[in-house]
Amino acid sequence: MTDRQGSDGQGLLNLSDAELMEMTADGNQAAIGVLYDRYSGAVFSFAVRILGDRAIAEELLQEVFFRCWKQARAYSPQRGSYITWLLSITHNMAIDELRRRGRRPQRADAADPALLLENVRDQDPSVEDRALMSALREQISEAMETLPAAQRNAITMAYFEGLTQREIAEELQEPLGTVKTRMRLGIRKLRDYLEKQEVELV
Amino acid sequence: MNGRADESAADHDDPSRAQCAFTEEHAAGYALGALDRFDRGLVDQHLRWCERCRELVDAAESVTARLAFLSPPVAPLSANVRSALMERIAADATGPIVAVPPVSSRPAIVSAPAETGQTPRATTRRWSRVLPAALIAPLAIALIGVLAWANSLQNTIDEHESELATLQQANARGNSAGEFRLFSMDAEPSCSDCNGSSRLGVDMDESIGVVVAWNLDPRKEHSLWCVDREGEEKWLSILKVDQDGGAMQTFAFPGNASAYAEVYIATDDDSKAYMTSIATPGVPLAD
Repeated sequence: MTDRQGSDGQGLLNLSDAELMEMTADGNQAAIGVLYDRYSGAVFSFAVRILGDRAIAEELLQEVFFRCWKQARAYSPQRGSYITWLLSITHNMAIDELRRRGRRPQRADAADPALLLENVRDQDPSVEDRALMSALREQISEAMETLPAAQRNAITMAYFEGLTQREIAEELQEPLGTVKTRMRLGIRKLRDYLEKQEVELV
Repeated sequence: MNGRADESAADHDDPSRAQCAFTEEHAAGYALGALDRFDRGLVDQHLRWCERCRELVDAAESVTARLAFLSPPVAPLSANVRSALMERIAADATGPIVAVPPVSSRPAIVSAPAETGQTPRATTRRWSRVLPAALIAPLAIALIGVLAWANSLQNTIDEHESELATLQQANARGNSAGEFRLFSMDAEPSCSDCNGSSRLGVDMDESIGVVVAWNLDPRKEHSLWCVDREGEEKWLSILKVDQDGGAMQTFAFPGNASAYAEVYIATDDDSKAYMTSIATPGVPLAD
């Protein structure tokens, strides 16, 4: 543990996310720095996608990682991967910011999801990581393509544009129950598809 | 809130089953961040103790987290962003906090539901978990005082000046004792459906509080929220309003009360009906 808690980030590069979070919880600043290097690209891309503003996304990025620092003990590896936890925080904070500002981001439906995963690990991902991310990227994209357009649209409006079910129903002039059903079925189909493909999140 | 309206008669006989049904219906919306404040609060409350529903929501969130990867690529971050973050962390004298509130909108599980089939009272469970028995007594005394004070105020609710004077006196007593401070929480003008009033008492040392309210609209559902000094809203509990529109409820802040700037009551139409600011110590109440 002594070695791992040194301030030299070089010795930390081979540690797992969970190990780094454990060290972060103990106050090791270099550990959170390594996690930042690994995932800031993914967090930033995601924040820009939701907020539609690079400067605001940079502010949010710092807030996300500072929160990870302050609340590192809240992370439990038993409940999921670090990147899942991190992106969940990012999503919550970005949506809150979006709603606070009372505006919507630009639609980014035409974006190529294949390119995002290049940002997942900023520091020279291994061949294995690249292969895994490439497979994940394709399968998530394929999974979304399997959804009916209405389900895909409802999920996108909620997740990336920060709209509530009620707001989506009003905008689409559809019954609230219809919107809820689309989300429920859409998420279930995505889960079934990804499980069938045995996709693991990095 | 159609989900609640759709509950079957059998579900009404078994509140825990109704809550599970509600959570199942809204798990996808919850994981997508698409629930309004009130529905999200209901799900949060249920997830405190229902392991089965928590697993359901976990499964939905494992899917939605992957959607993040559908974001388009952006130009790399400048090194200045990293430097600013690391400087901020280096300047953080307290470091990672020891007792952590939940990071996501979802709270940690408090305990498993009772085997009797009774719906656990999550607020009470959290209350008992947070407060040692030794703290309950002074709080109870404070509550009795606040309740008596609120009742007396109800008789003079139209006499604002008198009410404010009473409040200020009570506040001054609280400050001088260093124990319990009272804050005003009057209806905002935008609330056209009612003439509700409420009072907030906060024990700043123990980070606990009590809300006393009256003239609320009993046809609506109300929940209690706090806002930290960075503007982040956190759900506290459902506010139980009696048929006459009155309510009195205790709560515990998620963390130190000094980190919070406001407490408010929200109604199920997502409006902020009543709000108060938590004053800084030594600053008199605003009129």
